[in-house]
Amino acid sequence: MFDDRWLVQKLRSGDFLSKIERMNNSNHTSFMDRRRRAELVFACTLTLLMVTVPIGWEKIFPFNQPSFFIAKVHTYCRYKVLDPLGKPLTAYEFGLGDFYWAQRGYFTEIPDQERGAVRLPTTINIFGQVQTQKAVTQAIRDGLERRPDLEYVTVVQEIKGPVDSKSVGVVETHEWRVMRAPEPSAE
Amino acid sequence: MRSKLCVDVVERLSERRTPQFGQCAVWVMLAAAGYSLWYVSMNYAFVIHHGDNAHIYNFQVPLASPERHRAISFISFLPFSVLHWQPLYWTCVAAFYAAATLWFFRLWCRWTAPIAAFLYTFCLSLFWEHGGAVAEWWNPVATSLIIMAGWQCIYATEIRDALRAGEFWQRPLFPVWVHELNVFSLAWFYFQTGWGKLTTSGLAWVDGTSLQLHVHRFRLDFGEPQNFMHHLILSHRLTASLFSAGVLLLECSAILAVLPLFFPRFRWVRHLIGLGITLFMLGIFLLFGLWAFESLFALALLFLWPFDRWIPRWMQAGS
Repeated sequence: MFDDRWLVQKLRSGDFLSKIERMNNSNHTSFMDRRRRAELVFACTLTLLMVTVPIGWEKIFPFNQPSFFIAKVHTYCRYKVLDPLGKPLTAYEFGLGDFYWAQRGYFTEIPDQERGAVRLPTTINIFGQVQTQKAVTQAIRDGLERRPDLEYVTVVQEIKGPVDSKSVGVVETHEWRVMRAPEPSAE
Repeated sequence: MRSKLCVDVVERLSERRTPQFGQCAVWVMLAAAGYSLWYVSMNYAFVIHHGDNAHIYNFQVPLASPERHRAISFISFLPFSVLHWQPLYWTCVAAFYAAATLWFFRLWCRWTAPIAAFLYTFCLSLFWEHGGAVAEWWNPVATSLIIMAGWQCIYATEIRDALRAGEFWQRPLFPVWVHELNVFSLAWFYFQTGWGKLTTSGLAWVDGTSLQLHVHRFRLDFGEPQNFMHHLILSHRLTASLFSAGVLLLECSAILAVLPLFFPRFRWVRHLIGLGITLFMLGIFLLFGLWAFESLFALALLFLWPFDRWIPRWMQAGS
């Protein structure tokens, strides 16, 4: 016959129960430790990424450094390009596109003005700068090479800035007719 | 004293509370993420056509060259053909909404939470990979979604047991570190914007002309209607200067929102910064329009105002 008195005695003894409790507690404790470790690793890793990525790489979403409206500007230019019949053309076709949001904070001194993933059409229209007639003319002529249907275009440059001590507006307006560059002579 | 401070901070971070605020924060963030992804997807559909166009946010411009210009996200290493494959984008958007819906109803949080957070970040990254610029105001939404997903994933077993026992709202399931990490994420974001202005332009940024020209450029040049704020800013440089100075001070001091973690008696600093950011964002809405800033606004309200105290109280009073 199986004698279960020994088993009952063992079950009732403190040693056996405390051993089961210790096993349960250690499972529970190790679970808590694992969870605590997971929380620590997760929180520390995320904090590290939030702090180091904007400093080290600047532009890795979603940790990129915000750079909107960070530049001080006192002027900018707005361009209208018109065909010989007076119909408006798109300024970016002629290197005058105002892709200001693609310019890092509209900061004028950073040579690499493009801050996105893809390359946009080149532009000389930097927010905060006034382009000279020579630069505008050259940009238009480069654009006209891609538009053989146009003999010339009219470009209107509006320079915007402080008009007095209180407000801003159009400070100057220039209008230029830019002809296609003359063909180089055969000689 | 320093070691006592560290011990106090660790104890505070390890503390757990009932999940009323945490769960409401998850719901708000899912709504914010869902709305911002819908907004982005409308722009994606509108400006991306046959892969020969790029966008600057919601303006369509032709690509100068299909070659990659720079890495802007964690998926930039993928080939151009993959990044610009439109069915991938739409599939991920649909998968996000499916995962987010399941997460919203607290179903299989261990999987739906991290999947939704990953897909949101992935979809926005795909959008920015088409672009000539990155608008950073959804960064905190993505980061907060990752934080909340981490919480629900790590505590998934306890959450599941609590839901089965019908005691979800009574058990201490919401660790304080989740709330503090979200506060840090927001505070750090605003601090970087202010610090960027200071290091790039110095105090000359607050002369008022910059703000006036930005408003002029983004409202008048686009022919948008003007309100009283536009008239105020455009006609009075001193007012523009004062607003600029206030914004710079607010953004540079935003990092102090984490002070209550170290010194609990300075909770009022966090709420004061929250009030300042609320007014700042209302000013942005009035001056520049919405531009889907609402998601960031919702986050700032949620974590910088004392909703972590109000929501449990309201839910208790209601029950």
